[in-house]
Amino acid sequence: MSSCIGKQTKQPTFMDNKENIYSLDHFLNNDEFIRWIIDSTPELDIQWNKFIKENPQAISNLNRAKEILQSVEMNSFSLSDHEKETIYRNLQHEFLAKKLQRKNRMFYHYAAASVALICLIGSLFFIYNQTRINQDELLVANDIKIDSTLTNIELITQSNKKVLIEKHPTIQYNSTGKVFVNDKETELTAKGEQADSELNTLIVPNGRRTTLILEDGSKVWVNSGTVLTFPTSFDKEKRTISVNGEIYIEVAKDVNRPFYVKTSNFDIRVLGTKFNVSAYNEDASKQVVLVQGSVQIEKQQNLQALMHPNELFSLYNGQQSIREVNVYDYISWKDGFLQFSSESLESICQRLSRHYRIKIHCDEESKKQKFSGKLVLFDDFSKVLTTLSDIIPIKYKQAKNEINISINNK
Amino acid sequence: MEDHILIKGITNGNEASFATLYSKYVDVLFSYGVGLGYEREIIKDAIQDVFLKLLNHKFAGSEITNLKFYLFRSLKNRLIDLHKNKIINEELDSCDFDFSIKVSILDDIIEAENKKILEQRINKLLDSLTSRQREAIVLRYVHELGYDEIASLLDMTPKASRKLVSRAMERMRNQELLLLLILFCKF
Repeated sequence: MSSCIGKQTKQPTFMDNKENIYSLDHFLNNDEFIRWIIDSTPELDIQWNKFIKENPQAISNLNRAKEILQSVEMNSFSLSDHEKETIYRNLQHEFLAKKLQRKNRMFYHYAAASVALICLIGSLFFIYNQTRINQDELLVANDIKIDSTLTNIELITQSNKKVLIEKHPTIQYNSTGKVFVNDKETELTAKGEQADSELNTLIVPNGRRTTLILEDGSKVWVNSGTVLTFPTSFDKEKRTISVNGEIYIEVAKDVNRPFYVKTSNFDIRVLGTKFNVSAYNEDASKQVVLVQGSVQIEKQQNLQALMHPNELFSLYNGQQSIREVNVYDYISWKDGFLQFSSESLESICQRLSRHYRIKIHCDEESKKQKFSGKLVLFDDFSKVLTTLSDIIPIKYKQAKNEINISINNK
Repeated sequence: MEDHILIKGITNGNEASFATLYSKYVDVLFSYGVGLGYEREIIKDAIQDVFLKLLNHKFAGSEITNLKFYLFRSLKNRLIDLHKNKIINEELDSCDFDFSIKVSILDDIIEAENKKILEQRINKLLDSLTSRQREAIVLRYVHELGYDEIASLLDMTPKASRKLVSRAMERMRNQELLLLLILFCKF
């Protein structure tokens, strides 16, 4: 068969040299043939059927040419099954959540009060009622490095009363100043006039999590390695808490008292909503993810950004940005697991580092590999490591306070 | 299965309908995204966002009359937004992407050399078009959208979009009648 189909031949007639007529190239270069394949007319039908009858040996080449011409496609790209599945899994989750939401819509209106703000209180300097703060308390709570040997959650009042809490408690402050841990009243319940404006500190060490219900009904999920400062009873004009670490919070609606979450770099003014704040003082990157409602990010009373649901606000090295994200990836920790979709190992390890406050280092080869899945956030980090190495082919070495990860090439 | 039936299914909370709809459009949207010139990961993120938006839309109870167009429109907008955010974060130079067409001859018995030559000829033909002409051609002949829809996606009037397509065809016709017919032989 002759080589180049690229040659433009002049229109041959049926009476041409018989040898030319049989070649595949001939058909592919023949306008009338192509027209017949694409858009046949009665005349072309007659013409070509006559040709086939008179030149039966040309049939196979003719059919081949037809096949080739009919197989041309433009931009026929597609995703791999795995990729499609990964995207679908995230959508499926949302679908089911929305389905449930529709069913719960009536209930939702009643529960409108609960908005989650996850703010971790870090810097106590922003607490409005500074004069009443015990300076020693300040130092303790602002100590960025939570004692790594600390295993229990500590709840400390301004007057230095302390309660140690085990497991995953729910701490509740009710409007009369009583403090409950897992529905049992504690001795922290403040007495007297001092009671109301007392500032409390909640310290949640590495690997632990807790839930706190504030006096106004706002619910806070507090993540590992976080210090949260909040009053027993909120001010008349505004409600303020401060965070160093990560929280997810559902703020109770109160139009008369805006809610502020203060971190060392910015304040979040809440208008009634659910969001996640990750503002560990020692992290270069601070983030706010808004689930529902609307918040304003402010710095010294100047508006920096107004956020909408499904947005992530990020502050890194003085540069701020907002983009849309899949929010559940950022708040799944409150339900006890990490969710990641097509995330690089480096990024997954960064998140684990943040949750457990342990340095995790990935080697060059393993850094960029991407994975999807869910990882339960066990209290014990070594359990998390072994689970991770079950799902992903990695090996790890523990040295002092660091974990080194590399790909297992077995 | 027809779109309006699938949409109804989704509104009724039927996951199978959603899964079917997703399967029906995911690759087509991906293909459009690639043509527009975006990176794979960004396109994937955008696709996910588009379907999420659809879910939110449906569950808010509003009607979508032309689903395919709705998806294409959402995708294009989303890709532009994601790219814009990227620019802000990384201070890239803003650039308008060229629409690209990749031609593939699926036939696998044809000799590799001939296949390559044919593909090259076709690509050369398509290169002679402007980016917008290419996009219009793909939307019309590959995705089978109407001129109104093409007009909306390309930000022009329906009349102008019709002219755009016919100009593109004319341009190619003047060059290579043969290849023109090969490309559009399905129609």
